[in-house]
Amino acid sequence: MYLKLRQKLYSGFGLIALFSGLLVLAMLLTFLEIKASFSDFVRFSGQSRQVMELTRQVSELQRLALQFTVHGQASTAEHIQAIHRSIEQRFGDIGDHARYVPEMLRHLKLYMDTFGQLQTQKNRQHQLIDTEIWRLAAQTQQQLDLLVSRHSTGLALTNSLLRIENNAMRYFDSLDSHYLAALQNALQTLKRQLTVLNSQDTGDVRTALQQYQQTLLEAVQRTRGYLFLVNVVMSAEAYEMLYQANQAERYYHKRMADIEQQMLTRIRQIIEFVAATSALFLLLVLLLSIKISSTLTRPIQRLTATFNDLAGGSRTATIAHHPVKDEIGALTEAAAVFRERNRETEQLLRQAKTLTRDLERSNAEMEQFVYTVSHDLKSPLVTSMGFIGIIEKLLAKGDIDGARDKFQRVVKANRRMSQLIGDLLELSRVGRIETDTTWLNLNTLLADFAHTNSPQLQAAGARLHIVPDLPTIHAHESRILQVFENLLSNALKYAKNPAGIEIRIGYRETADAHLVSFQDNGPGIEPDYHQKIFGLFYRLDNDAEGTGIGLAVAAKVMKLHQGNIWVESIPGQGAIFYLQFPKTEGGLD
Amino acid sequence: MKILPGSQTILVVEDNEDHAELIRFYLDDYVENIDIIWLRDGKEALDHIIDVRQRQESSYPWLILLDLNLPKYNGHEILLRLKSSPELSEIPVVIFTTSNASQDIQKALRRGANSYIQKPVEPELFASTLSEIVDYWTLNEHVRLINEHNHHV
Repeated sequence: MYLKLRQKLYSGFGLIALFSGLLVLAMLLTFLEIKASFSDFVRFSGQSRQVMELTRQVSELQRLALQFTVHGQASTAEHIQAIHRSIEQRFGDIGDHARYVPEMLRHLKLYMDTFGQLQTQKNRQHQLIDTEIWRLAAQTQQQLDLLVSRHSTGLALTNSLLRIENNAMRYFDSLDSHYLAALQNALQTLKRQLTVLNSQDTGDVRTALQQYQQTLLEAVQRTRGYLFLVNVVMSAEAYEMLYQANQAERYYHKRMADIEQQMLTRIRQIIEFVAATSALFLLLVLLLSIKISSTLTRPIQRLTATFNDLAGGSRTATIAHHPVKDEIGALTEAAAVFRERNRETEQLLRQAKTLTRDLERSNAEMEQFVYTVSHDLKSPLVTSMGFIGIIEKLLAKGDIDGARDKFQRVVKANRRMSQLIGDLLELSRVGRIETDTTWLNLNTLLADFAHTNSPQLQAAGARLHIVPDLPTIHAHESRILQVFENLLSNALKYAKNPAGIEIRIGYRETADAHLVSFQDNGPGIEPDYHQKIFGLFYRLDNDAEGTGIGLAVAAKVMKLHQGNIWVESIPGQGAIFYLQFPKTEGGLD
Repeated sequence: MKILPGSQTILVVEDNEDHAELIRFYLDDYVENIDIIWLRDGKEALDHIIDVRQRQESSYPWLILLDLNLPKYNGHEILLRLKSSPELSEIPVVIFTTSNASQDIQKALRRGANSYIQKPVEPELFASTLSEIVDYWTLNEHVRLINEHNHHV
């Protein structure tokens, strides 16, 4: 079970997801903060607007108050009260947390209190003007008329009184102090005229005038009083309120500007943060891609190339080392197994080729063998049939002796055929695979061999010399003995020498083989026949007995021992047969 | 069967003594006054042929009966030697062997053997083959005489 790559991929994507989540969370938190700031901003903006409205209303209030001082209409006063309520309501809306509100409320209260005083003054003035002044003016006129009826200068006095009345009316109408001065002047004039009259009966007029003057002055005083209230006290309170509103507005504007600045800073920060984290994020993704590429794509590409090589039958394909035990590691192991299979397959193919070659050679040998055998077995048959035909003819002629003579040829031919078949059987036995190979000491083996064959040697007048220190070989005893017997038999048959046959068995060791030599002092063998003599049924001499199988058997035995046999000879100087045995424990194959 | 142009010699190249004797019997039955030279192996045969070539044309053998399976040099080697020599290639060669292997027959005919007789053989077949060879030789001789005559004229 291999999980490494999947784990790698999952952890990579998990990292990306975690990073994205953190990024989104950070942005969300920042936006929440901005939203809070913005709601503050909206609140301050609203308060600022309220304050502006307040300012407008305070101005309206003052305007109406001025209007009221002129006309004194009740509707105007009601309007003022309505605006006052509206302002109080507005303060409620703004809330008392704003530090300017209590101060403004205090000033508003003073303002409205003053307005109350103003109303009282105005009402008193109004009353004086509307009722008292007219009554007193009429009273004074009446007294003056009484006086005038007794004096001729009455008209001037009436004029002065009218002037007083006239200027008083004008003053109260316009509140122009110029008329007030004219009123004073007219009063002085009337008083002087009365003095000039110098009469005892001016006392009533003087009293009436005195009352008239007092009331007029009270009215003027009242007028001046409310004018002071509206123009100085209320105006100051209104100004104070406007000042406070202005301060409040400045405060709100400052707060709003702060929040704006803060929000801009925050927005800039989040833009920077998002840009930075996005860059980081991209970098992370890039790094992950590179990592995935290096741990996944590249090994897979390498393995693909390797598998392509392997699919082409390569057994030397390079398999990149992969230290981690993951899916790619498994693939790498599979590639190694694949390569091993390729090697095995090629070895099998090589073995199969060798086997095929061996089989082909074996087949060719078999064909040659069958060819030779059939040819040589036919030979005695031909003899038999031919002579039987001749015997028939001789018998027909009555030549019984001749027939008997030819009959011997038939017998001889049949015997020869029997011998051939026997030798062939022997050869076929050599070809059989036999496993009972042992370590043979050639010293012992050949000593026995010499002893066993001493009668034949004596009969042929031959001598056999065997060198000491012969090797120990791994071989099949009876087969090796057969080789030596065949060589000895050939030597006794062919190596005729007038001085007697001398046979020497020698030994030489080479790097990887034991080399046993079998030397005679016969006529030798011409180089043309050095190869041919090991062929089946091949004979050099027709005179000697034999079937031509002996050396073929020897060659076959040596081949079975993974050894070799050959002859070296110069005609006239004898022949040396060499038997080569491998040093290894190869034995029979 | 008395027409024997050239020398009256037949070379029998045969390693088997019995077979050689059988051949002699057959020939004695059908041909008279003929010298049979028996050569026992490939080397003897080659030595004899080399010797014949060095002597006069008139002593060329009339026919060579050649066994294939011979000691020292086999029949194919001797045949190759004979048929590759301009002087000797006209001597008729009859392969007389126990082998009935097609590769032997084809090889021998490819190398210029004039006939192929397989052992064992009925004496009659042997005789008829020899007759064909005689006819061939006669015709050859006839053509040679005509050519000679034309040359003289």
